[in-house]
Amino acid sequence: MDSALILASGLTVSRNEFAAPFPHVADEASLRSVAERVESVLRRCGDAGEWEVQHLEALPPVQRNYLLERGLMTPSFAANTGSWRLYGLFQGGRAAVEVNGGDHLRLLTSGPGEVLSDLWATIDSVDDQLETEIPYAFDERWGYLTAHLDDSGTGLRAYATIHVPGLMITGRLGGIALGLVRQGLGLAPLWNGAGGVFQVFNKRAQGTSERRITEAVAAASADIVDQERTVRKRLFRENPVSVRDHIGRALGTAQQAWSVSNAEGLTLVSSIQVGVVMGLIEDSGFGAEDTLRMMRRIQPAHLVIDEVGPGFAGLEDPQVDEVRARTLRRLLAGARAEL
Amino acid sequence: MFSDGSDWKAAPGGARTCDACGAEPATVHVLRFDGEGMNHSHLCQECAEGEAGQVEGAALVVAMPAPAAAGVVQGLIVGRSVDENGELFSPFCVVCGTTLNDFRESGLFGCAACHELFRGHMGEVEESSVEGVEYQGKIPLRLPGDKTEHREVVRLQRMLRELIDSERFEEAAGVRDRLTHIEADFSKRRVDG
Repeated sequence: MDSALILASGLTVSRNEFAAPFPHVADEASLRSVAERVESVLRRCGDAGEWEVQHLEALPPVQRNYLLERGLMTPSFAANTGSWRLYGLFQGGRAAVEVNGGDHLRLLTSGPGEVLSDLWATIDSVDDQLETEIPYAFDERWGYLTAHLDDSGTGLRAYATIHVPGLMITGRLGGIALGLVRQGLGLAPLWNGAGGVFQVFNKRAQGTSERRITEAVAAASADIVDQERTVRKRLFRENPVSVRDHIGRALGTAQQAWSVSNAEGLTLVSSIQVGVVMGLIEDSGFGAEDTLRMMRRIQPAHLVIDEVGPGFAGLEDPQVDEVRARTLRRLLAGARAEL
Repeated sequence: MFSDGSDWKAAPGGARTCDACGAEPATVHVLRFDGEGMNHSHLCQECAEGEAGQVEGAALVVAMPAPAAAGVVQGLIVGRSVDENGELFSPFCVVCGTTLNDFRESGLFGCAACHELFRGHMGEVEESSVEGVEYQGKIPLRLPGDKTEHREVVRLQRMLRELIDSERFEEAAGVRDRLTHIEADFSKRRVDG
């Protein structure tokens, strides 16, 4: 069940060019100089067409959000409004690079399930390619030098996205989070905690190695989802009617509603997937591993791009909630609660 | 799909002591979801554990280590020196212009050279709370420029800091010019190459 409850893994790696001021103090000429050098490197790096490079300004909000929802852009970079910010997509989405965000370069990648070590192999290889052309700011005592002290060292942040609604509703996440703090890790809600989806990540990139960081995040997330599994079993053993009622109502709402907000949609999918994992929902057409895929399909930018197509008013349009409800009705048409 | 790390970085100018007891250093960033929204607070470990113990029902406390930068940067020895006219000034990085006070307020280094300059002012605070052990991560296959050039930059950056600390500004200006020359030469080679 670990693979079902660890929804996704992600990595970001921060790097800077050694000779240029960091983006937050750089003038336009310096930003432009870094952006042009990096773009030139990306265009001749690896096989032809491996990198698809664009100016961030040219990416409309819907596209930025789509990339954000897919784990291929960070929220702070998506919100950036300055010029000479570039975005590069590697092999159609296997990895990506943000140029002139908080640091000159932030490499990122993500994938479904607990795949942190595989992701590190990918991002390490991309990093090796870039560093042959871009001289990084590096110090043998402190490691890679970044704008934030917390990011200096390996420059690596590792994230594991976990589905833990049972721990959330039983109020146990506070104690778990404090346990993580003692290990130098953090726990943060994704989507403001809707659907009980959280991320475990390392808070510091110094005084340790990349392997230890990914192993610590993987071990902590595996331990937390193990507790989630125990809590779910206990809740069902002690309150079977209440649990069946909660899951059945979620399925009923998802199959019948005509307007569903993002937070409500995530909560419904979360409850339904708990039912799928526990065998309380049949013929849903989705397996235990599909939680993230379903949650992603009802995100605003995914709805606009996958369900509606170009020309839609925007992510804030009330019609998005109607499209979300329609999508849920279609996806869950055949599902039924076990009686 | 990354939670926005930028939302979770307490401003270095923010609380230094626990919001609850007001006595111990704040080491945990705590968020409470009350169904309506999120409340942030910065607590010491003991108060954070007390808060976690009071959570009921669906209310939630999420916590993470307070950023190292907050404690460390606030612990900076805010170095002030006197120039030749007897005026107080804040040490600054001659490569990017970031002053020690800028760094203290924002928690952000302005360039690679700032690390050399400002980490020196962290002194024992940094060594005890951030460094602890030597760097153990990946090492670039190819150091900036060639390794000789990289070492020369590091050497000059160190020299620059020492000269500024000892208020030998004319010599510091010469070193700064050499660093600028290396940077310009590097940029030209990048464009040409």
